[in-house]
Amino acid sequence: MDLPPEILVPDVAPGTTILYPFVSSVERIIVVAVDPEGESLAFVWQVPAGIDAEIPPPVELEGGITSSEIVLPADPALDDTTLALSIFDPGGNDADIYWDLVIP
Amino acid sequence: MTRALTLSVFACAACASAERTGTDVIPPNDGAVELGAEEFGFRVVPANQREPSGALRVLPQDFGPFDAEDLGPDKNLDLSSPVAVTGVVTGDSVTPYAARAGLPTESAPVVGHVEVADREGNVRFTVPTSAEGEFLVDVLPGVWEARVVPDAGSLAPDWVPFTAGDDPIRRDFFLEPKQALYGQVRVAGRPYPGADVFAVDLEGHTSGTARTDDSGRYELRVPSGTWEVTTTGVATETDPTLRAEPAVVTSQRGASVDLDYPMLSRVVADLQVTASDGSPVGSIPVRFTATSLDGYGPAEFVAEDTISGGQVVLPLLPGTYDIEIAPAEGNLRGWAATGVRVQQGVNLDSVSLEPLLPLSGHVLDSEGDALAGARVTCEEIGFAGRSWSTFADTSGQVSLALSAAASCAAVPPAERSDLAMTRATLDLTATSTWNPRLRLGIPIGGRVTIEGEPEPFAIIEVRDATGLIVGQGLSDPDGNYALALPPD
Repeated sequence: MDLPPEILVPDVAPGTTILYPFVSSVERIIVVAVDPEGESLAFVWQVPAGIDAEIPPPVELEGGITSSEIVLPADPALDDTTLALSIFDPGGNDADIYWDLVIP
Repeated sequence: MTRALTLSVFACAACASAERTGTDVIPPNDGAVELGAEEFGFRVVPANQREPSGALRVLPQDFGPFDAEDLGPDKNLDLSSPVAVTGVVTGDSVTPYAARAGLPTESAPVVGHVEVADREGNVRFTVPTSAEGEFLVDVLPGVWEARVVPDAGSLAPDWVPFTAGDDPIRRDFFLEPKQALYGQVRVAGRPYPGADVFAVDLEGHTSGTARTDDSGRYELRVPSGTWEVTTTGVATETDPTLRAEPAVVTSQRGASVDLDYPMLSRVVADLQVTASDGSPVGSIPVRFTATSLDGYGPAEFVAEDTISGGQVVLPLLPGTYDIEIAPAEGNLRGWAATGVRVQQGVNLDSVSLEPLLPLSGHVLDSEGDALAGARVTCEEIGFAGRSWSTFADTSGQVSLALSAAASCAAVPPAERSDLAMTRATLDLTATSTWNPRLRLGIPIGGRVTIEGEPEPFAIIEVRDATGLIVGQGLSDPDGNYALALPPD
């Protein structure tokens, strides 16, 4: 049985929504995940339209642990929006995580 | 572990930025260390930046600069805990009675925000003040400047340098009216009510914002200094930004600065956009940037919209514009034109967007053998900065569809940390093949810690003097990392 990706960081269950107040002019949000079968993972970030986000290439460790990062400016247009990430394995299993963004 | 030739991005029409990856150049205003020609800078970005409660635990941190000979297998990186800076912002509350009678005024909490800038004046942290005027901002140890910017222009901004060490810091502010910076905003000589006006001094300190009254008049309060008054008009979407010549404000007197819009009559710009097969395109951002506006002196104006049904219609001030169509996803290339005239009775030429171009090749290791599992990431040069990523299959083959100009990197798989990544800038109109060969690199490693405790899953980026990432790694569950830098 092909198991879905396991989220290592942040320490939350799949489907969780995290309240995320910005503290810096630029925030770098990182997720670390691993596929139980050791297969490669794909990270699909969903950013509110019109936001100039940057998504550096994932960084990997041996054993299939992979980190993916998104770099977000403290754009007022992000306030009260939701950032979403879906992590897929090659079999199409996925794990999702959400952030409710707060721009001070 | 199996690695098929897998696009890292799945088809997802609603994913606005799904393909937008890649950030190799240090973005401005992020306080990165300055590097000499033979130097390297390290940036550590911990994955666990927040406590489960949401409180800040640690911030990304820069290390260096390091000479190449300083680097090796024991380059340990110890992160500092953030330092809390708290305080209360209050200010003169000028009541009509007190102002008329010259009586002492009352103090009241100030609504606004507190910025923390680095030595170069780059604002790194911004927090609002509460209804009670309180603020809390976490910074890294170092030398900083705290800047208080009131929302309203009736109190002067204030700032103070401070050094963050190990202990929390308390800084209270009391804002005073100081000197007046005042004037009128006009359109074709007539008062322009409702326009926003603010000022910035030569060091980047910002005043509060005033709004012009029915007579087009405004008043700001600022400390002594040289201030550039700016109006963004009633709405930045429609009005150009005007900046006046810098005005000197002394402790003895303020300054009067007027700002004049020659006119604000607009014409309709109608741009038709199709794919190369003639079908109308949609959901693609388009930007008109004015290089000169008819009748204006220096002015800044950018209009942005989204193409819908193969068309974008925008009311614009007559003038000369640069136009850029920058798809954020999909299989079309961007398009740009400079020096386009927008004026009454002149229609814009229709635009056809070309499809992405193919790139293929094989990733090889230092022995010339196929390097399965290597990741190839290519970033679009210009436009939306999209990027595309794929893994080499068992024969080392990769295949992508890209913009005409792209900056590509081939990164070894995690089990080949002895190999260095390699890069190339590609013109896809001239070539459709790239066969990157990854050489044995200079091994770099060590342990990432925070206050001496191992920090798992921190990204370590190594940049050269040009800002390009030349090495990248991830700390393991014990905080250890290993990567390789290019031998030259």
